[in-house]
Amino acid sequence: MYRVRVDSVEAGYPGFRVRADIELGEGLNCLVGPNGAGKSTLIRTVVGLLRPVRGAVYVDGVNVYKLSPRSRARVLTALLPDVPTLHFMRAIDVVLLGRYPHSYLLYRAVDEAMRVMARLGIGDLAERRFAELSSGQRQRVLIARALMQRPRALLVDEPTVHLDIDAKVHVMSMLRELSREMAVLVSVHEPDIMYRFCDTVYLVWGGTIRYVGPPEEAPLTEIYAVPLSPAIGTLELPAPRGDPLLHLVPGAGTCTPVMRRLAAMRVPFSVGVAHVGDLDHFVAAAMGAPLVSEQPYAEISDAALEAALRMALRSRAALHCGCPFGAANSKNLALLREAAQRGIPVYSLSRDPPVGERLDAAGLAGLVRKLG
Amino acid sequence: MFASLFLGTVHIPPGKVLAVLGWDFQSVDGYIVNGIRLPRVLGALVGGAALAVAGALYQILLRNPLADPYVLGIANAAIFFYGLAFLVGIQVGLPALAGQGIYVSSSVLGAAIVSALLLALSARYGALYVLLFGVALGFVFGAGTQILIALADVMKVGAFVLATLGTFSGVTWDRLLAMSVVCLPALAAALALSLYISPYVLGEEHAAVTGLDVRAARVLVVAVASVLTAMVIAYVGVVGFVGLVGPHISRLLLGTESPQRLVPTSALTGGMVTLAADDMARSLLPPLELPITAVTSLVGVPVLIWLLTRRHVQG
Amino acid sequence: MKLSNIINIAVLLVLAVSIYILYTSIADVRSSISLLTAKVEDEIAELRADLARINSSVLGSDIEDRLTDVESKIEGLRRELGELGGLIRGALGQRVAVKYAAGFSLAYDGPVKVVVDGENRTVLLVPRDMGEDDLAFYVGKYSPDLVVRTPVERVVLFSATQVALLARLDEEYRLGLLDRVVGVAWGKAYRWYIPGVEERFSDGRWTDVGYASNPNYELLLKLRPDLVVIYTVPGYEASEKLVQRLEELGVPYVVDNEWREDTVLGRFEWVKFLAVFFGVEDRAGRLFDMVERAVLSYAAKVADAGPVNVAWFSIYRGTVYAAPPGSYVHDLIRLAGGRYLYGDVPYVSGIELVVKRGNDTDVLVYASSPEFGPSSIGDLLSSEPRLGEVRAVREGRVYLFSSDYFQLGYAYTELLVRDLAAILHPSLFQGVEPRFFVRLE
Repeated sequence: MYRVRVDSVEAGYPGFRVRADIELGEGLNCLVGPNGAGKSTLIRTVVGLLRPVRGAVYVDGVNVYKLSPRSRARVLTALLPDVPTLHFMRAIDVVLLGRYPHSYLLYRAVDEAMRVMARLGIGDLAERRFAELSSGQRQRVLIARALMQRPRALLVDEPTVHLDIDAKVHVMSMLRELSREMAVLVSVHEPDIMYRFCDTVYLVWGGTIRYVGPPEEAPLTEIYAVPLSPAIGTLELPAPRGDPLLHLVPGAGTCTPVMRRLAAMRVPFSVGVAHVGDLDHFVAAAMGAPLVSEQPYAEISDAALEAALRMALRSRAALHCGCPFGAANSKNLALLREAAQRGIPVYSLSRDPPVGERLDAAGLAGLVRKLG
Repeated sequence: MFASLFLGTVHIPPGKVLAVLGWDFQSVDGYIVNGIRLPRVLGALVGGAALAVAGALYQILLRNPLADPYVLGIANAAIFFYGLAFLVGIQVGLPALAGQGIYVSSSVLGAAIVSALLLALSARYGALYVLLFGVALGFVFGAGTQILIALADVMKVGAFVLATLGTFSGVTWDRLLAMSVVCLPALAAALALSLYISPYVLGEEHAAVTGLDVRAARVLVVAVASVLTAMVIAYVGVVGFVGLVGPHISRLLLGTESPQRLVPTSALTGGMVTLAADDMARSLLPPLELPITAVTSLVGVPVLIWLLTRRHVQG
Repeated sequence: MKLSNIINIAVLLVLAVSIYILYTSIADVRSSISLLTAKVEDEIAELRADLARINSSVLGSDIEDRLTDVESKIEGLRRELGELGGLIRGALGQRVAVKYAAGFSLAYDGPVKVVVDGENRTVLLVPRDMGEDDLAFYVGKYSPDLVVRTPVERVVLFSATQVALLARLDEEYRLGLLDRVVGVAWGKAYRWYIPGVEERFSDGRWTDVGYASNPNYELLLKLRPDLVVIYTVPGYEASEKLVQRLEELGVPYVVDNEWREDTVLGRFEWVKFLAVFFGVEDRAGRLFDMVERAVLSYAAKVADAGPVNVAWFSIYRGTVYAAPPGSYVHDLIRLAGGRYLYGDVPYVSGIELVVKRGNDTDVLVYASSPEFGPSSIGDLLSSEPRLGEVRAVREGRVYLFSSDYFQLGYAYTELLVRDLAAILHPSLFQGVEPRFFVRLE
């Protein structure tokens, strides 16, 4: 494996600086950070598009800044986020440009280009015009071009920006696969992508690399204002503030879609009792909604029931999200019954409500209007 | 190309043309064919090729399909220095070219000054800046020419305007030789350059990570295209439209914008379009000779429109 | 007896012939002459009656008395004839007719003159002392575009040829017309060939009003001209703007478009147009008659000399710019006994035609001057080697304009014709050195 060392590189321009001193590891290396943190500046500096303020980049001990553009392109290359505007060139013409650092007579490498394209699953696109391809196909054509350069290190800036979900997964898988042959550094700003594909995360924030390590431990919550549930790798909207309109009775992830709808509608709600480790618990905690918790798989304690009941009584209505009741959560049923007895309207999303009035998912908005 | 020898403001029967072609410089018809038409036809081919290649290079460099050989102000500078010599009498000398007349020497000087400025700039700044500086310089020299015209008297201005109109009818064997001695190596250099700058179509940053020395490419393109443009301006004058339409016709016919195909084919299309335009200029309304720029547009535009619409229908 | 009869008849004949000549030659004084003619005819009829009586009574006693009576009548007639002659001379002195020029006209009506200028504008010229009532009458009658009080005292000229014409009138008749000029366009942009002009600018008698196409209007107004003589170029935007601006500013201007005349004499006749504003059209008429006589005599001299083929063009980059057919130049060549070789070429053509007609070309007038054109035949050939196929070039019969051709040539039109005739027919003009053409060595 190639050793790629970014040695005390200081990049940027007057008024903006970002520093990095890292050695790329095995697998997929990800540069993570919010927009404007300097991910692109770093990548473009490492690859030589921008002049570093100081520092050097070594690939297998060779300082790439000392190389000519052509020699450097044989050692490392980059995939840039903007897609070139081409009106006529075929996909294979673009791929063949990757031959440039090795020979000016590009068209002698048609066979190799076809092999690379076939390997990336775009062999059938060779004769198509680049401009007519989808974003994902174009991205793969550009990857093929990079591979034609036979680099030791590949730097990729925001490869998934314009792609749909399928293409994102496809392109990231492909890069991960390539990371077995060469050093790959990808800049990523979507946490879900990061959690799923990255082996090593370099967190860029405040002009420097704040964290190097596995994605799960990356302190994203320090960086992003929006709540994140690291275990699930998704972002959530923060829970709306104010007196809860609804008290949700959760279980087995049934309240997750309800909470997301209510957060989107900016309707305050409270949640309880939820078991730690339940999806509803992850989401409610990430959102920061008023929440009563219970240990995983444990029967709900009286204290928890008491706390949840107080919450339910402060809201205008209680909503059972539809979780069936069993040994561990039977007290949630008791909670609903008690609330109903004390004059709190109770609704249930269950097909067969054990208590309260039946509500189907589409009726949620109507209920909120009625209560609000 | 052959047909061009039969066309002209003076009618010579085809049989007679063939009979005198290549050897007879003595008889009137022979001189017209060999002394006037032949160098003119070759001049149109070389000049058209040079213009179209310069246009193609600029279009690649600036990534702008509307770029033409005059986009960077070279023509304006050439005309300005000619005006300085002709209207004001300030002849900035290029002794080596003195024998070629003030037009040639002024044009080369003007083009050299603008190109030198642009080369210095293109090494430091991106293509967009080269374009902006070039256009700005063009305006400066254009304004300078306007001032010269305003200060000069009407008689001289008339002659000045006439002398700045481009035409191939001034191409003699001597001038064809002088022009070709520079243009043909420059065209060869452009072909080599077309291989060198092939990644440029992706844009400067993509090209840079693909291994192109973008600065060197900018400098070389401006240098070669300037030489080609300057030579044509010097020996033929400003001939519009070929530099714009030649590369487009190639691009549409070949369905590619890759420089290594575009540059050589532009040389062909540019030469052919110019030759056809020149044929029409001297044979449409004999004995009147039409301005070549008007005819290049007449020939080039329909071809371009046809190709564009054809592509649209297909697309 | 017989003798007196003969004297009478001779006197009658002289009268009749002189009246006839006067009658026919001066068209625009017909009315006043016809009055006198009627009077003279009455006298003649009376004389005839007397003669008849003399013849019938040869030995009448009162014959001596009658003879003295006849003689006194003849004396009276002589006196009246003298008055008539003076009147006619006076009329001739004041009135000129336009014979060749197509671009302007001139008419007389009592004390006023009516001029139609180069842009078809009616200009009413009235004496400086004309009263308001009379002025109103004539303005009502002609509704002119402009009224000018003449003679003018502060004139601004827009072209060097106008200056040259006034200079020639001054030279011939010592009129001091240039002293009445206060401003000239292009004043300092030209190199002047008209004597005295540069001094007038340097000592401030004349002001340079800037470009003719876009003069310095503030300067122009400051000069308070009573007449500005401009020229226009049809379809040329700057011309239209100039006219519009002068109208807006209320500057009294007239359009002198001599350059658009197609004939040599028609163009020179504009000297009358300029002169009428200064009130000296009689001298202009005399000058014109002199030039006309000279031109026609040169033309007559070469009329039978056999045609000489003339090319008249300049070449820029192989494109031939020939004098257009039916132009002033064409007429000049015709008058000088030449045949214009490019009468079929509408201004622009190619070098091929020049080569094709090369062997027919006896004389080439290369339409340029030593400042801008070639300095020698070798120079001409290096800028356009294919002119070597033209016989006139090979034989050294190539002429350029002299440097002062464009300024002075037109004011000395008869010399232009003489020069060209001498160039075309050197044997008929031995010892004549061209004044306005330069032979290329």
